[in-house]
Amino acid sequence: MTSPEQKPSPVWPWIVMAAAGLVTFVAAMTVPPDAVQGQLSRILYVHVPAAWLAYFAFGVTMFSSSMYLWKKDIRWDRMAHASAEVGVFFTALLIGLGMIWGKSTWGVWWTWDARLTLTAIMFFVYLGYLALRRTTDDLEVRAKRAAILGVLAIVQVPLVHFSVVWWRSLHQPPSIIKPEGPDMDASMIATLLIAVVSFTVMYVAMMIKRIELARLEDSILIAEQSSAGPTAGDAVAAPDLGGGV
Amino acid sequence: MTSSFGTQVSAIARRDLLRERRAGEVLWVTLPFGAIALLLIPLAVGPDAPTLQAIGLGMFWVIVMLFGVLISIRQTNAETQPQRDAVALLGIDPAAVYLGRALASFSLLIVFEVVLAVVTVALYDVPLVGWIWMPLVMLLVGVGLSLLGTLAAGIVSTGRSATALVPLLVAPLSVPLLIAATQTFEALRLGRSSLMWALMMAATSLLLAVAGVLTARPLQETG
Amino acid sequence: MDPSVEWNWVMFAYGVTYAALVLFTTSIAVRITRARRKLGEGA
Repeated sequence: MTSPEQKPSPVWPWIVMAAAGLVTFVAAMTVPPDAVQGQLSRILYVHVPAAWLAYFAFGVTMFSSSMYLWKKDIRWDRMAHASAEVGVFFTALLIGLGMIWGKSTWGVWWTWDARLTLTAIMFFVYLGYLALRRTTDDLEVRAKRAAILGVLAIVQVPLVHFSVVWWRSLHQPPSIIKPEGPDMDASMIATLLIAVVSFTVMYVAMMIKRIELARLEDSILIAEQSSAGPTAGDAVAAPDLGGGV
Repeated sequence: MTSSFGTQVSAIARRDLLRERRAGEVLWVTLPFGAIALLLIPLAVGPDAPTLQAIGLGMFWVIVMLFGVLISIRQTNAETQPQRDAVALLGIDPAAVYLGRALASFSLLIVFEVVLAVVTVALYDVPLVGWIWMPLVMLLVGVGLSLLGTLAAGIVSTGRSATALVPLLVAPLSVPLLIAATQTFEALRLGRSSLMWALMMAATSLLLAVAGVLTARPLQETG
Repeated sequence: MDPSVEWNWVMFAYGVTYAALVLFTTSIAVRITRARRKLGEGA
């Protein structure tokens, strides 16, 4: 296997990311505003893609975790890790944009509606996954533990989803707070589609670079572990002061 | 070793409970910690009786979820690597170790729940509406939480910062149990059926048990 | 709501989004560079 540091780091993913960002911005700014929501409807063109990616990245992490447990190939673990980090990013962005949307349209930063609550919970599941990966430097132990957590999450998250949705449905406020947003006409739907596709392309490009980073970091860990031998200072012991300490 | 699966499970559970009887950590540390948490809340929220009555039951379940996990962590931490290896070398089914552990956690959790429930009723003056169902709900929560906590503790295992990480992993995934437990009493208070919530807790526990059993061997191999 | 106030919110949302994207991608790029340098000299 060619060592990763000898191949030049690909630049095209950065260009693709910039292009995708630009496309989304242009599309979102040129589409006519919604009749009801006005200019605020433009927020949807980043809010919805962020939501889609947050959940998609989650799915990729869980899928890759299962594949790792099945195939035992460390590359699946890197994919799971990369998607978890990118997923945390989009989840945090989603929560932020959700709060901006809520404050601008309904006047409150947080609404406790099912979707926002679930996103917050999912954020912590992601954080737990990333925190777990920091508990050991052994690549295989780390991969296996993280993958098992991934499988546990797959099993539990649907239940979390149902329980929060039912909880919310029992406490529906009388006012018509509809988190879905306005009913959309064709130009809005088209723009939304453009935004979602661009952001997905951005996700893929991010994943390529993040997986490259994961591979490099794994190589560093392997190099550090294989060179770990007796250190020169091992021969020095604490002085015996005779106090029985 | 040709002992049956059931024998192995009860042997592991008995061993864990014996450890607890000697160390007394749940009784002397975790339980008081949960109780003082219940005490701190009114100090922060204000001793307004109607407010406390309204939040009391919810606070009880939150503390059970967050602090009850400590019971499962303690069990994993109390064991040394040579002890773990000895169990593995004896040929005891890892799934039996998982279920036995969970069973011991469950027994301790029930005690935890009962004592804290008494404290909650005392401090928050919670009306005992529908409390005929409380034993069943405590049982279901105990099963689910012990399965989840034992599994999470097994995943983190000997990793660094286990004490805060296991509760972090358990908290989001315990949401179905938390919501189901609180909504059961909400439903009873409003005269509605709480069967759905009981089923949710049962389903959660079942899925957790399956996940725990399936991942027991891979987890044991990671050490 | 007054359209100019609406635009403020929109610009805020896009500002946050694109600033976050730039920061995140930059952090990946920086970490890659650091890792490659470390592997180049260390290993």
